[in-house]
Amino acid sequence: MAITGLSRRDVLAGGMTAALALAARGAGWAQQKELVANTYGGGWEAGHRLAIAQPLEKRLGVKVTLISMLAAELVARTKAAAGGRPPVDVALVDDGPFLLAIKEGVFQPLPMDKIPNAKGIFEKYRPKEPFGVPIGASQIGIAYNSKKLKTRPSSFADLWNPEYKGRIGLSTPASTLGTVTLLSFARLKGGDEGNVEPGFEAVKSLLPSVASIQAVPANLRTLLERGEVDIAPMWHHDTSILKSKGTGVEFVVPKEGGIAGLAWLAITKGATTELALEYINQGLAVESQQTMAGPPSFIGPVVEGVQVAAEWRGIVPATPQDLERLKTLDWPRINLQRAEWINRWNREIKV
Amino acid sequence: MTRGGGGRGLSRRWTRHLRLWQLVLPASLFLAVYFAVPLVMLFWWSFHAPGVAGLTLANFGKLLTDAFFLQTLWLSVRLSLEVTAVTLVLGFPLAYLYTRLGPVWRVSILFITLLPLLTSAVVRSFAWIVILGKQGLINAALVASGLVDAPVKLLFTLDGVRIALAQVQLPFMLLPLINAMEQLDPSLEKAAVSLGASQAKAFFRVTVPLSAPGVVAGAILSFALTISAFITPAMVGGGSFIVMPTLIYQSAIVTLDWAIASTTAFILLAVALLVVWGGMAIARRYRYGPAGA
Repeated sequence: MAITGLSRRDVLAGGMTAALALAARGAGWAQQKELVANTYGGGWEAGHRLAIAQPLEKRLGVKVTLISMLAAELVARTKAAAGGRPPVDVALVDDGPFLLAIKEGVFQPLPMDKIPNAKGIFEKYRPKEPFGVPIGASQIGIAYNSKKLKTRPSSFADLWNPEYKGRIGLSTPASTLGTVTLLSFARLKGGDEGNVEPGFEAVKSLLPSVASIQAVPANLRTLLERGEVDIAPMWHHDTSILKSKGTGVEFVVPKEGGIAGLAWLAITKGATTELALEYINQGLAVESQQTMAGPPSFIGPVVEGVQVAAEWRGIVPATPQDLERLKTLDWPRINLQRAEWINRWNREIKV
Repeated sequence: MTRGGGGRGLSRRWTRHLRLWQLVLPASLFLAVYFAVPLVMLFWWSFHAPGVAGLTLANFGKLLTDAFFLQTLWLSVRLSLEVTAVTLVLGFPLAYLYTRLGPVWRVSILFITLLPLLTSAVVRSFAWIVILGKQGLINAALVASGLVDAPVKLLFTLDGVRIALAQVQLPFMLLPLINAMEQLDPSLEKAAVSLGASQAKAFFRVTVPLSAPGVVAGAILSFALTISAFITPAMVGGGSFIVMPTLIYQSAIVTLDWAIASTTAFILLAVALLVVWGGMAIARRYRYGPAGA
């Protein structure tokens, strides 16, 4: 993906619009008083419906349609629809795909003065570029089944414990979770975003203990619930959903620190901007953030002043101390190499 | 079609053709907009590479000289052929049985085989996790019966994927087979037997060759749907191997490398067409060759 190819790609992308935008339209054909936003399904969808869509519908008498679509797919579809009607008005995307989308030029710059609630965003989460605002914070740690495993892990290094042999689940770097897992392993062995080699070595040495590798984290959640795997690097909110079902699955923030993942809201080019800004502003309201921080979504708040129930404290990152412990990753640098990592993973990592 | 004399007949035929064409006009337009145009554009994309001016074969060169890519391609083709063979072996007797049963049984067979199509691939794959897993139904039964000591690994294996894919492709094999067999005159087999052929010989020399069109149609559908299956290999396979649609998904969706995605898609399409064409050629020889005489 050399930069020199960008201009011609843009031209071609425009040419593809006629056909692909038509296909994308089905999902996003919005009436004047309708807003379409994507969400990630599971807890995210329930949280967004309860905390953003419903209050907005009530207040403005509009219709908000939430469609379930993962970040990477959303960016690809929005790119395909460039110049025509985008698949959604408001996009929900993770760090990596968010930066990729900005580079592809599919999001509008946001007039921050039209989003008054953005003032409450934690310093640590403030956007560097005006193409989106964070809507939820997540952390990646370790999910393990306390009913089936005797030893509670305390670090990613504990995955190599022989007790966990045949019980481990992993994700491929095609997902944000998998990319973060690879980097966490790399850091464990002295690597970083610039040197992922130790990460691959670590994954290979762990393979004899791995039961399954999934491309979609939601599948890993099902496997944990079914007892097909009992321990896996996992998002805190997916783990919390499992925990709240009484499965015995617990979330551990590794002692080297959980890794922060932010979900961003952005407005696509060609969207109904006014309504989209209302949606974003509603999402950043303290009450909405408070609702999302509890069951069934467990999404970490991005604004100050949200209280998390005692049971979920430390798991749902909310306090300045929680934020202090969270580590962030260098996503611009990761994005440049991600294709190569996925490619290498395809070739070298097999259960 | 009656042959009219001179120009008048020709023009009448022409008008009739035109009328028939009008009937397929909506379908043609639909396919042109939603299928042909994107396909042509994807084809165009596959001849462009970042940093290269004009048309290039660089994408094809890069992929076709890559051992991993070729292995994946071969795995996809092999898996699809195997699944098609399984559906044929399961579907042929079932279709034969179907044509010889009463209406109640017929409806039951159709309902049971079509049932998997009524759920989404995601739901179906979750069901397979419940059935094939080490805590799953099959393993629970095996362990409880004392046949095995420890659970057998079925989930996240190629075998598991073969089973899951064969289940969902079975109706696509079964329906054309039933259609072909229902057109056969049952008295043909009886005639063969009365002329001295054994029941088995009559089945293999009469019914089987005459069902060839159904086999070809069923095999094409089953093969094409298997080679393009994405969700089932990903979920039931669980990272134990990679198939072509996974590669296409990764470059089209995750890394946004559309040139490579289009090229991969076109190579897959070309290979699939080649296999289908080869299968049809073999089937034609089987039907009209010495065996069918």
